[in-house]
Amino acid sequence: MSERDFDFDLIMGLAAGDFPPDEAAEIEAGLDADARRELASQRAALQSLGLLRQPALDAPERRKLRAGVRAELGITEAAEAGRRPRRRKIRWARAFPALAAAAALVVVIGVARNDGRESTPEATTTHAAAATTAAAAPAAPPEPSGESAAMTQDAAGFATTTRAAMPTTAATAAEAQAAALEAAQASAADEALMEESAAAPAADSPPLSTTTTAGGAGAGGAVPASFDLSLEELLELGNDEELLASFLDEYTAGAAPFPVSELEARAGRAGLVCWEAAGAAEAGRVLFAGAGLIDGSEGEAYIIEEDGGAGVRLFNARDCTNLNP
Amino acid sequence: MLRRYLAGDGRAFDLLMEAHENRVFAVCLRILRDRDAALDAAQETFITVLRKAGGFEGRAAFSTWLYRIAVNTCYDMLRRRGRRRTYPLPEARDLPDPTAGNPLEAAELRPAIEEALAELPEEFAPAVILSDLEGLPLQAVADILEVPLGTVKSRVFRGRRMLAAKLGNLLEASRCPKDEGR
Repeated sequence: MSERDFDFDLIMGLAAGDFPPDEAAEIEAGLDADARRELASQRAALQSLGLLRQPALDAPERRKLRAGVRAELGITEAAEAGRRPRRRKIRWARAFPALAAAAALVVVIGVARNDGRESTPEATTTHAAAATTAAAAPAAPPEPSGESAAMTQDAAGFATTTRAAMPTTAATAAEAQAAALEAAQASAADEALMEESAAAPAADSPPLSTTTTAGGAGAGGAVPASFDLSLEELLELGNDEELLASFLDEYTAGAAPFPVSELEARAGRAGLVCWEAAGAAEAGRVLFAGAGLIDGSEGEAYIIEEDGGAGVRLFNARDCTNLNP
Repeated sequence: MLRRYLAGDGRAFDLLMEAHENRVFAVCLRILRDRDAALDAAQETFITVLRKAGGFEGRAAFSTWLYRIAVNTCYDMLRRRGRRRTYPLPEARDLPDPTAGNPLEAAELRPAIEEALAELPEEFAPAVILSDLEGLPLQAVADILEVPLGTVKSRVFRGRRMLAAKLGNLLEASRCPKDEGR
């Protein structure tokens, strides 16, 4: 193939599907034979790379890696575990009614509008801004029959989503959140709350083994990513502005948000399957769209900035069941 | 999280590892083609990063800095090793691929694609891996590799071209119906 100067941006943009279909067709029609060959070549490479699986550490490798780093840096697991905040495992079946209210507040993550300017996740993301009404919005799902069912199973049954954050004062949101959390704790008292041993070494945690495919979307600035978090940790993310900003920074690597109208094309290249459920038909901007593990099950997360705010939308990747309470 | 780690928050270590270990390992495995070597490289990367964390000035994204150290560590290892192993990655421990329309066809193609990727010259492979497999924006790739954006575009463009040439019409053939032409 010749080494003539191609318009990298144009060919790569076409290959990545960055142009609207009509515009892409028009541009392609104007390409000469060499440029078309290059375009076909770029597309073939992207398609083939999209078929590759993303390697992931298995549990023994993960333990070995962390143990090696700890040993080298003198981080002791016991000391670390001693400093680690105690975590509670909540039986969602019992705790659900109150937890749903709490979760609605913390999962729906407010994102400040940026007056239409190019924005970065760090610049636009703010703390939860859901109104108190949002807490009561989700319809109560049927009580799961098995109270010890996996959290993801319970969560998968939640049919209602609170999508857009509703404007309110921070104080109102904080108060509502605190009240809801308190109610959740009360409701889940006794058997519903189980103390996890604070001394349990991290290596004994459930395998955090996976990342999922993020192939082939680089040129367009899409933000495919992978994460491995529990639903609880996702909720914690929604409670901690700094953590959320850090998450966006780390997982998007500075990628620019893109219009929701491009979600279908970009999500397709990134191997995301729940884009339609995430609201591809709506207006707004996608700050983050990624696949990973939610409580060990394959899931997808979308953070979409809309006119009225923004929300995190979580799905079970197998059937795109909405995980948002 | 880095600040929390430096401040002595023990849980921040696990959060940092959880957030990055798979991706660092994936990049290292793509470059080194050997799970044990990739694990060693990932370990060395995190040790380096956490040792130098206090000096991280935040001028670039943490992930950019981390990837840069990972890529450099891997190529240092390759140079020490003196040669590059190019056998295909094992499939057994990998995850299901949601992009594959037909899992059987994808499974048939993957070894050839992995092999073609492994044969990309060192100049092009990291750019393609970071851009097209890790999904990083080209500017981020440029920052990681410490080369101009135009250079990254050229490397990705030419890397993909090489990849397509190596794969020939493999993909095209796989898309044809099995009974076509009968």
